[in-house]
Amino acid sequence: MFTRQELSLLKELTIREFKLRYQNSVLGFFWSLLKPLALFLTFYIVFQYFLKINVPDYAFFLLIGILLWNFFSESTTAGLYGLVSKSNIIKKTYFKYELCIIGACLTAFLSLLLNFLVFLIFLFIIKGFPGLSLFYLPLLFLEFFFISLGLSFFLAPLFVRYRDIGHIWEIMMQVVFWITPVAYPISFIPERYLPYYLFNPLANIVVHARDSLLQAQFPTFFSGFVSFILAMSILLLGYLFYNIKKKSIAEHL
Amino acid sequence: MIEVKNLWKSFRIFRERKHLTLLHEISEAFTPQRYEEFWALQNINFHVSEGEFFGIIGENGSGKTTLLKLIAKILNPTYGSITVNGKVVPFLELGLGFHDEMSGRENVMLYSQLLGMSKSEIKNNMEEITEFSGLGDFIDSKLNTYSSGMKVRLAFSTAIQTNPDVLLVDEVLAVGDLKFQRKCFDVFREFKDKKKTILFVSHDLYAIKKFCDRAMLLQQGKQVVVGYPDFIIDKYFYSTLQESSSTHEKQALKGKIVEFQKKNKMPDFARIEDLKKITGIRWGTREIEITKVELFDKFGKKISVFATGDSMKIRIHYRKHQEVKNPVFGIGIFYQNGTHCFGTNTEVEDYAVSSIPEKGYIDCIIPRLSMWEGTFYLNVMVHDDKHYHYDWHNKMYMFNVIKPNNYEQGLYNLGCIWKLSK
Repeated sequence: MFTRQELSLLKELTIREFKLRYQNSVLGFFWSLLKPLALFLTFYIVFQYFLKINVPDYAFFLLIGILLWNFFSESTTAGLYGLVSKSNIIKKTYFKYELCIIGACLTAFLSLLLNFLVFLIFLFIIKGFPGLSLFYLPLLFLEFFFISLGLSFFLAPLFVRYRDIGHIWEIMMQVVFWITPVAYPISFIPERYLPYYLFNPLANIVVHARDSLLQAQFPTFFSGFVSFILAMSILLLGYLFYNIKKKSIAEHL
Repeated sequence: MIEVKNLWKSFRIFRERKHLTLLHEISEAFTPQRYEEFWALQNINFHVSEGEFFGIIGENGSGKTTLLKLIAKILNPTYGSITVNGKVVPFLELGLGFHDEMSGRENVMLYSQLLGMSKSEIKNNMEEITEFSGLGDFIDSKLNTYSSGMKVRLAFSTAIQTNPDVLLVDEVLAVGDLKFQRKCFDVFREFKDKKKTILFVSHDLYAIKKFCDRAMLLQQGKQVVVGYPDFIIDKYFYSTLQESSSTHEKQALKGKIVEFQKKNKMPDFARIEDLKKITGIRWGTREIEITKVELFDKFGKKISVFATGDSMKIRIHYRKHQEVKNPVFGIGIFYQNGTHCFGTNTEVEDYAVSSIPEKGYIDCIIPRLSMWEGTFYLNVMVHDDKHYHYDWHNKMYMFNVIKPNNYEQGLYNLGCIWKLSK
């Protein structure tokens, strides 16, 4: 799909983005840890002490949700701006513009990996090895990356034409946050709504991540399969959509 | 090799929507956007063979950059086709939008990869890029410390190191200093020797003349003519002259001319020196009347803008009201600030006009306008051999001179010839 040269360009775009993000800030990369941590603390206090939620290991439970959520929010937002923020190069050279979108998502993905690395260290120290199901995590991350990238492929070209998308997506993020089991367990959802609820591919990801890290449980084959197919179709549809739109990108920027 | 066939490109220009109320805005959202189709390029056909240096000239907004962008595949044609053999490297609109927060070196890395180079190649070329750009130690400083000229130099240095088969150059000479321009010329020469294809957009006609094998003139998106640079440049230069001439005519002195005293009266000699300083004034006794003054360029076209080095013909129409002996026709040319450039008359030049017909004209031909540029006033007069003024048109006419290149300097082109001792 991509030549070696294009892959090296992708690497350059990703690393450059990552570097620029934390340049000129005193805490640098730590911000990528501090941001989800701050969100985590707020929710932890509200749900644990004010709302008295009854979930075992709520701290870890919540942290997994927040870290994943944080990736989703960062990657789709970066993906949304992926083309517009690179207009200066897109308007002046010809290359595979999708590299900009992939690079933006990869940058967020890199943060996710680093965040999870720190998280896993704490998990190991406090709770011990979570079990073989830990090795399901890479597949899960890949699925999640596909979902974010697929959505970004929709968002980025649309944003080039309609700047409203930026605002709409901001609202969408709020909605998605609450219809995804980030802060609460899926058991809170009434039984009859559950099938619809699980249409949200993010819900599957979060549930699977928790199962494999906290319960040492692999997802059922069916559930895992559906979730994977869902992620792949989002990516494919997004990429198809992008390919239809790509011809006019430079013109409308 | 580049083959452009029947190429058309249109842009949609959307009319600004008025958002008055929310309701209005919502209803507008469901009506299709109104737009105008703007044809940036219309039916372009040309062929550039391998190793050819092809120039594109035209005014701003004539579609030059759009054409380069289409060849670079950044834009897609509305109709028609473009075939390019080999690796194309574009250098458009003063190079790449670099990232200010990164060092020159990091920017070069990214830019070269965008242009299709591998990392190892870039590392090998880094030194040459730094050297060519003349940036020295600045290469490791952040780009926001660079001047705009430095950025362009860096971008161009990177572009030429990518070893393209086809190089698209858009106005690189406009920003660099003289030293950099000279380096660019060396590169062009080198590329030419290596049989690389270059498409070159520039307002620098001298450079086009010097390097291009062929050139194309674009006007308002239409391909006017393709051919040898000399021919194209002439065509371009005089088409712009004609246009500026027509606008120039409007602001000429018409309507502002003051008649001194009553007709048919000669002012005191003492006052004449003062009068000569006034723009747009006329006096004289009108035994002979100057009825009209026309300026013609080397093509015999009536015009008021000339190029340095061209010829100019001043045609003075007159009407004789009374028989006179030995009339003297004269002209005077002044800079706008009043500096007297040149003055002559038929008497000085020993062109005896003993008797003239009732009505006619006399031509004064200046074979070579040697002044570089500026706006000039023209005096036209007829008097007798004892300086009794029949009709004196003082600074009543204007013309402009434009220099065709930017390389020689000063007030005048003295037309030097160099000779080396053997």
